[in-house]
Amino acid sequence: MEAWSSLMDGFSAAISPYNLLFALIGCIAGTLVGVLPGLGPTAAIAMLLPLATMLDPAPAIIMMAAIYYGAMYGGSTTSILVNIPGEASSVPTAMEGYQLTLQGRGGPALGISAIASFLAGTLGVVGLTFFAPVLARAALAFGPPEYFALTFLGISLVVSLSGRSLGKGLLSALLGLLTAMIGLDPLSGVARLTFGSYQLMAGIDFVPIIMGLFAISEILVNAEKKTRMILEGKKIEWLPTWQDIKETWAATIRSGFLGFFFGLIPGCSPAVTSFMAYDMEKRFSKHPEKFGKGAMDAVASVEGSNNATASGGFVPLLAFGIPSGPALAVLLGGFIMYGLQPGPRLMQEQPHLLWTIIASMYIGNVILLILNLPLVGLWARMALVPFPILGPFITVFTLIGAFSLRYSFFDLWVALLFGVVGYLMRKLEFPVAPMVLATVLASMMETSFMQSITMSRGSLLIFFTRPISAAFMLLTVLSIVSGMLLIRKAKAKNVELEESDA
Amino acid sequence: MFRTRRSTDIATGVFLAALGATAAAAATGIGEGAGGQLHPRTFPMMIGALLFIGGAVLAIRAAADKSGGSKATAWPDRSGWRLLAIAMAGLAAYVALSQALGFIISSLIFVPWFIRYFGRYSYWAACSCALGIAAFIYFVFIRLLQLTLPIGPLSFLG
Amino acid sequence: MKRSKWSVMLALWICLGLMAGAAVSAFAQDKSFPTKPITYLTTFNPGGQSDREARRQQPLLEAILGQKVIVDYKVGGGGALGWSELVRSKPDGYLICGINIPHIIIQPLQQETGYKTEQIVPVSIFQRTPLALAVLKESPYKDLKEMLAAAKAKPGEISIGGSGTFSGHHIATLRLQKMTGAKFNYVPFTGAAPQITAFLGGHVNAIFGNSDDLVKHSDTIRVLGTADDQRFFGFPNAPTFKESGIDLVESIDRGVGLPPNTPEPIVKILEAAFLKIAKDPAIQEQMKKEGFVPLAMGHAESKAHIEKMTAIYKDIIKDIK
Repeated sequence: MEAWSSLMDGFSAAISPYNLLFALIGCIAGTLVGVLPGLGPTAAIAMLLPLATMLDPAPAIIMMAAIYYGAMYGGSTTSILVNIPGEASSVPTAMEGYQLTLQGRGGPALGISAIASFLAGTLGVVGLTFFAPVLARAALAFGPPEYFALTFLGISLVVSLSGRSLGKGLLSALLGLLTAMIGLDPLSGVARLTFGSYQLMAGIDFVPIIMGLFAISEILVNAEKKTRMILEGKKIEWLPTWQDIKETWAATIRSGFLGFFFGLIPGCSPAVTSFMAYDMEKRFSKHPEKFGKGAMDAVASVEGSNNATASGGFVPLLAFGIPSGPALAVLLGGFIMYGLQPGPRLMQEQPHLLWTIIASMYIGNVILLILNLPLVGLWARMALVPFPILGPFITVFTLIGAFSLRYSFFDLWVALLFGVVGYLMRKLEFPVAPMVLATVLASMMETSFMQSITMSRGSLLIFFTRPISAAFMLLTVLSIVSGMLLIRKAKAKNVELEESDA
Repeated sequence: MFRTRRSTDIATGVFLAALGATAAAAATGIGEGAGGQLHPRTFPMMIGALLFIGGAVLAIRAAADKSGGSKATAWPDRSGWRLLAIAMAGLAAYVALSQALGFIISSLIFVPWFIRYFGRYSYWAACSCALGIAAFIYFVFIRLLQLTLPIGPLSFLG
Repeated sequence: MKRSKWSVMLALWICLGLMAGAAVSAFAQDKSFPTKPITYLTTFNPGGQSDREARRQQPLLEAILGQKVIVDYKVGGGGALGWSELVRSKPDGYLICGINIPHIIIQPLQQETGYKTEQIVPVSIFQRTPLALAVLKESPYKDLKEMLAAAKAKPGEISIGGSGTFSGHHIATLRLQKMTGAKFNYVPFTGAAPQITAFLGGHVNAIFGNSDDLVKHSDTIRVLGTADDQRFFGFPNAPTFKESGIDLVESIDRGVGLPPNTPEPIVKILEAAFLKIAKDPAIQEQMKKEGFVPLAMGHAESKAHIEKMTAIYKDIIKDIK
C-alpha cells in the first residue's frame, strides 16, 4: 500500500519535537476558541497568518489545522454545561447535553463527547488518508440542484423530528426562513423586508439568533424561577462509565461515516451534518423516547459527526484547493502564503509536506483527547456554580461571542430579542430546532433553488432528473410521510402520553 | 386570558398569520433583480403566504378543538413576571452600557448587580467575580485573541 | 438601605472610568495627525481577502504613522453597511475604510444604499484583481472565438458562472454579450468558493473569475480571455480580450477611503503611508504570489479612476434596468 508507507514517512516528520510542539499549541488554541461561544477557528487562524513569515510551512500549517479540528472538541463544552451552542452545528448537542447536565450527568456527557470526537475524528482522518483520491470526485458531484435537495431534506427531517407538534415545527421552520430573508438578497443584492433600515440591510446573522434562543432564554427562565442551582437532582457524576461508552460507541462510528461523507461536500453546512446525525440516531436508537430529555447516544453522534466533518473537509481542500467553509478558506490562505497551492500538483510536488500534515492530524486527535479528558471533571464542576453567579458569566460570554462575529451591537439586540422569542417558544411549546436549522440553511436553500432554475432555464424537473438530487427528494418525501405516520400511530396509541412529551 | 394551550394557540396562530400576511405584503415592494429566472421577491412572498396559512390553520384548529387543548400554559406567577422583566431590563441595560462605555466597564457594573440582585451574595463575592470577568475580557479577548472590542474610556489600555 | 449604598458605588465606578478617559485624551491633544489610534474599517467578514489585506498593512501603517491601527469590522449588505457608516463618520482621519471597486460604484446605482460613490474620498488603490473568462481543460472550446461561435449558434445554452448579480462578473458577462452579440445563461453564485466549486464540478460551462481564484486552479482550467490591458502574469499564454478585438476591461480593485470633507493635509499623510506600503517590493511580491496585481494609485489618481469607471458603469446599468 502506497498510502501506508507515505503515511509512515509523514509520521516520522510529524513526531519531531518541533512539529509536535506546534501541534500542541494549535490544539490548545483550538480548544480555547472552541470553548468560547461565538468565537471560532476562522478568526484564530487568520490571526496567525502573519506567523507564516517566521515559521516553516510544516509546523505553521500543522498548527493552523490543529486549531481547526481542535475547535470542534471545544464546541460541545458550553452547549452541554450551560446551554450555549456557540455555532449551529452544536445545537443538537445543547438540546440533549444540557438535559444531561440538569440530571447531574454533565461530566459523562462531556467525556463521551470527547471520546466520540476522538473516535469519529480519527475515523475521518483514516478516510482522508486512504480514500481521498477516490472520494474527491464526490465533492464535485454536488451542484446547485443537489444543494437545494439536501437543504430541503435537512429542514424536513428536523420538522418531522418535532413528532406530535409537527404543525408547530413547520411554523417554527417558516419563522426561521422568514427571519433569514431580511437583508440583501444573497444573489442580486436587492434589499428585502428591510423597511428602509440600513441596519436591517446587513441581515440577521444566525449565531445571535441561536444564542438568544438558547442562552438568553435560559437566563430568563431561571431568573423567573429565581433558580439557585440549575441541577435538578442531588446526584452528580463526574466521568463517563464503561456502560456509557458501550452504549454510545456504535452511534459514534455511524456518525463518523455520515460526518465524513458530508464533510466531503464543500459548502454543506456543518449544521446539516449534525442535525442529520441526530435524526439518524433517533431512528437507530433503542430508546428514541429519551431524545429531547438527555440521550447520551445523541451527544456522541452529534459530536462525532462534527469532528468527522472537519476531517472530511480536508479532502476537497487538499485535492482541489476548495475550502468547505470560512475556516478552511483561511487555512488555504495559509498554504498560499507559502506559495503552495493545494491540488493535484501539490500532491506530486510536495508529498512529504502533505503526509506530514495528515500524520499530524492523527497525533493532534490523540493530544486533544489527552488534553480534554482531564478537563472534563473540572468543567463539570461548573454545574455546582449557583445560577446567580453563572448567569452573568453566561450573559457576558454569550454577548461578547455574538459581538465578535461582525463587531456589531445590532447583533446583540437581535440576541436579546430572540431570547424573548425563545422564552415564548418554550412556554408555547414550539420546537426550537426547526427554526435554527431553517435560519442557517435559508440562504443556501434559496440561492441553490434560484441557480438550479436558472440552469434549467425555468424547469423544476431539474431536481428530479439528476440522480443525487432525486434521491434526496425521495428521502424528503419519505421523512414527511414517516413523520405523519408517527403522529397517527401515537394518536391511536395513547393520548395521555403524548401530552407529556413537549 | 391565554391561560390554556387552546387560547395561546389561537393567539399565536393569529399573530403568525398576521406576521406572514405583513411579510407577504411587504415582499410585493421588493425591487427587480437583474437577469435570472425568478424575481427576488419569490421566496419572501412564498414564505409569508405559507406562514399566513400555517398560522391560520393553527388558530382555527385550536378554536375548533374545545376539549383537547385545555392544558394550562406554564406562565410564571406575579413575582415571576417581575423577576423576568427585571432580568430582561438588566440585559438590555448591559447591552446599552456596553455600547456607551465598552464591555469592561459595563461588565463591572452588570455582573455584580446580577449576582447581588438574584443571589444576595456578599459584596466581596460579587466584586471579585466582576473583577475576574473584566480581567478575562481584557487579557483573553482583547490581548490574547486580539478582538477589537470597544472599551470606551479605557481605550488608553490599548 | 443596602441598595442605595450600591448605587453610590456604581456612580463612583463610572466617574473613575470617565475621568481616566478624559485625562488620557486631554494629555494627547497637541501634536499633529495622528495623535491617537486609527480605526481601519473592513466591510467584509473577518478572514476574508479585505481583512487579510488590512492585517497585512496594519503593522506597517503603525510603524509609519507611529500610532496603533485597530482593524474593525462593519459587515453586511455586500459592504454597503460599512460604507454608509464611513460617509457618516467624522472627517478627522481616524476612521479609514477599505473600499472595493466596482462595489462602491454599482451599489448606489442599483438602489438606495445610504451612501453615494462621490462621498467617499479615496486615499489610495493598491490592488487589482483582473477578471478572466475560463473553461475547464476538458471543455470543447479551445479559444474565445470557438466559444462565441457556439454561443451564437445556440443562444442562452452556454452557462457562465459568476459571483452575484450586479457584480463585476455579471457586468463583464453582459458587456461581453453586448459587444459580441452572443447570448449566455448567466448563473450567479454567492461568492468565489461556491462559484469555483460548481465550475470544477462541471455544473456551469464557463466562469468569469477573479485572477487570484483562477491562479489556484491553473492546472485544470483554460483561460480564454483576460479582461485587462495587459496579459496577466499568472496566465502568460492567455490573450487579453483586447487582443481578440473586444474592448472588455473588468477588474476588482481594492483601496481605502475616508469620509467626505476630510482635510487635505490628513489625506496627504495617509496617502503617503499607503503608497509607501504599496511600493514596497516585498509586499508587491507577496501579492503577486497570491494572484493579485499590485497597484500604487494615490488620492488624485484613484479619484480619477473611480470617476472614469462610474461613467462606464452608469451606461451599463441603464441597459440592464
